[in-house]
Amino acid sequence: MSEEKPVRRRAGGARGADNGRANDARTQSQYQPYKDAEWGFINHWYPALFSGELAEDEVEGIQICGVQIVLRRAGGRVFALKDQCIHRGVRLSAKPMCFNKETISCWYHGFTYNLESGNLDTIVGNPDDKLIDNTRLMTYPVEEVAGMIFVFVRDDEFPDEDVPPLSEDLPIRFPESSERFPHPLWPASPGLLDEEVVALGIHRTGEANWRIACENGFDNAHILVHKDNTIVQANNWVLPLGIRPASDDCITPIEEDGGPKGMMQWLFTDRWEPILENEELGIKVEGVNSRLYRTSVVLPGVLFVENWPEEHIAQYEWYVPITDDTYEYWEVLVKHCPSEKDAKDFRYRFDTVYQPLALRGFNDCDLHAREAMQDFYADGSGWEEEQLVDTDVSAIMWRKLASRHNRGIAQPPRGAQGRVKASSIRLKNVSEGRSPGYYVEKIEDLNNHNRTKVTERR
Amino acid sequence: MPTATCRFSDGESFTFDADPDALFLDAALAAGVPILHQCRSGSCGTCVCTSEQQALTMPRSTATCLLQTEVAQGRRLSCVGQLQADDTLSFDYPSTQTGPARASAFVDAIDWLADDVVRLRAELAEGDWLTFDPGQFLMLTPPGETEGRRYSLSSTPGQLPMLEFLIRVLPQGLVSDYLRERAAVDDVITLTGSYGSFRWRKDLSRPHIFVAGGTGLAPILSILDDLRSRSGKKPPLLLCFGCTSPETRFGAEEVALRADWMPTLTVRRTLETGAQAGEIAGDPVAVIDQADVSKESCAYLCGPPPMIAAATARLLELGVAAERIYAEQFTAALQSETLTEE
Repeated sequence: MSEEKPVRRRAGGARGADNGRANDARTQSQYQPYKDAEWGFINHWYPALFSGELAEDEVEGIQICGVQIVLRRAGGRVFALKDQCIHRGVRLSAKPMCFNKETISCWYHGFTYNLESGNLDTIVGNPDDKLIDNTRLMTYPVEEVAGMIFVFVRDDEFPDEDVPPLSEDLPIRFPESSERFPHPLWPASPGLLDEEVVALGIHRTGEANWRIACENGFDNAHILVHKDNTIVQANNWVLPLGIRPASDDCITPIEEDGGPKGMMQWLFTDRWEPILENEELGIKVEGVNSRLYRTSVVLPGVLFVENWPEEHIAQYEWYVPITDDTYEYWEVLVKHCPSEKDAKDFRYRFDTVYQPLALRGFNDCDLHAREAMQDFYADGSGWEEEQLVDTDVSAIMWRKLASRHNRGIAQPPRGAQGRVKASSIRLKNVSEGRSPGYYVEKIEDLNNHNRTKVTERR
Repeated sequence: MPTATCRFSDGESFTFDADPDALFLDAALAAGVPILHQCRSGSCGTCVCTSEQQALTMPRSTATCLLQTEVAQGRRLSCVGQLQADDTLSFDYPSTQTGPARASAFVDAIDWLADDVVRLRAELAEGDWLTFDPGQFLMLTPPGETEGRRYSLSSTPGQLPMLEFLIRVLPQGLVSDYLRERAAVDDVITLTGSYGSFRWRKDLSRPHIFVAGGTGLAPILSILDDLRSRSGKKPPLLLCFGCTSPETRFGAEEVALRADWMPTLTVRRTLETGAQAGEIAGDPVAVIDQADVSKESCAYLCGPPPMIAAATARLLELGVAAERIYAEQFTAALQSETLTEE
């Protein structure tokens, strides 16, 4: 029997002769793993919620690196489990149901999981089923520091004993690194893990791939987008048009065992040259007040801006992948506040100046810029077509370091929000004014679905 | 004990004695019967068969996905059933369903990496599929030919439907002649497989030593890339990779990239004659030191038989347990032999 079925190439183009990874004539580049990380780096610590977003007994659902996660606070402690019932994939967080402090139940068929272990403890209406105690839901380690809840987002095989401490996924700390990374112009920068630190910030969803967002933060040519920002002009800050590398040691990799992995940029030292004027265009920075800062970045994409937006403050940023085209943008300011008054003053200034003018005004320019870049990279071609210049040394170095030290490349998720871009539910939400985002869509009015046109016969 | 006869759609049948107290699927699999199965709990229906005498019974306490009408027709789920008396069970798929697959693939690139080494990249055709374990090989049949030759994959299962081979081109040979004389992008080649017991054991707790000679690098690259994509901490890894001469040297960039991407990987590249900067003069076995070996180490060797023999002797001498040395011999004779049975 001869097979006469026609032999055809696979449809879909994305895996076609010129775009796929394995069949391309290009040499795999030095940062191919980074290019593969469309859905982010998995097996890392990410911020999930501010502590204030999860009061006792509250449940919230989020998504990081394509992994749906449900968080519940019980007895003061925060627990994180996969937000996808093993039975038929329902998100537990869509309609929280908890009968005690030890478990969370799926509101659809009653599969009830132990918060600590993820074990299937019982099924509400089927308590003798043989599946009980024979399966479990993935759990995620949680740390809560300085009013922030961090979750170790891992794939289903990552063993408990390999979970690193949170400090390995946070920026380097001072003064312990003061000798290695001194800066003549300011004292040791505050850090989230310090005592007496107050952290204030915001988080919101941005529409771009997380890498586009992350690279924006430490791109020393991007500050042009901030030239006309209110906070810069109102303060008469000297914000250069760009900052050029002036020495081959302008960036130091951070690769020590047991510590965070990333890099430090020696900004506002003689290793970088600030550009204050472009004669051809007749542009000159007219500010008179220096606004000195320094940026470093560590895996899984945590920006640390020392001495910003004012003295004795450091700004943290995370670009937490939600899907391959959305990220949760976290901006957090930290300051040592030894007294109640210090904390109160910091809060007042946060509300009146930092949030409206820096985290929003100034950084909103970055959100615009990342969105403007997204289409170029969205189909993968931008990584090949981009023509980089010497200020992009920062991005290249970061891509290489991230390729080497990441703990895993998140795979496109199975059965999770955002994998299918044009699902009917997504389209309906969008048409009703709700963008694809970070939080689960909760069922609010039990007796009223109220989302579809109802046809009656009376 | 009742006797079971399992009959498949290709006419193949298997007869064995089935313990009435055992689950039928377990008894059948233990007897080597290739029954497709998945959930093992009566819910997915993959293992369904037809019981002629209806002697395969399913416990009434277990709800299954079968309709009562199907049960009445003799349909049964092997995974929850128990055989009470002699019976014939028929399965409506061929007995080869679980064996080696056959697939067409389109050639995407033919790159000459050295005077006698070609990197062949291909993509499985629409509707075709096969899979493999890192380290294994496929039979490759060029267009217009009826027989094939065996080649290890250098790509990983995760990269499917994309495939990559590193092929040593001989002065004469079925695939060698094809590559040298007429291979072109968009050609359709035929692949069957997977084959071979040289497979990565996926034991991430052990230090790994890889020794590769020439295109013996292919399965090692597949293992390294698969290992890199695994979850959790990576063990110390050592790759000793040797070529013979500047004319046959290849793969320097590929192995250097892996060392960049994997902090726990050490690479030693050797060249027998004409070694340059970054290379060690000699062969890949000579560069393995006592310090590279621990009691827990495992080793994967792939290359020409003399290299395998030397590497095995060296690793045993350094204390690697014999049962954790895995080897694949690459010989011209093997590659020119038609593979009929594995």
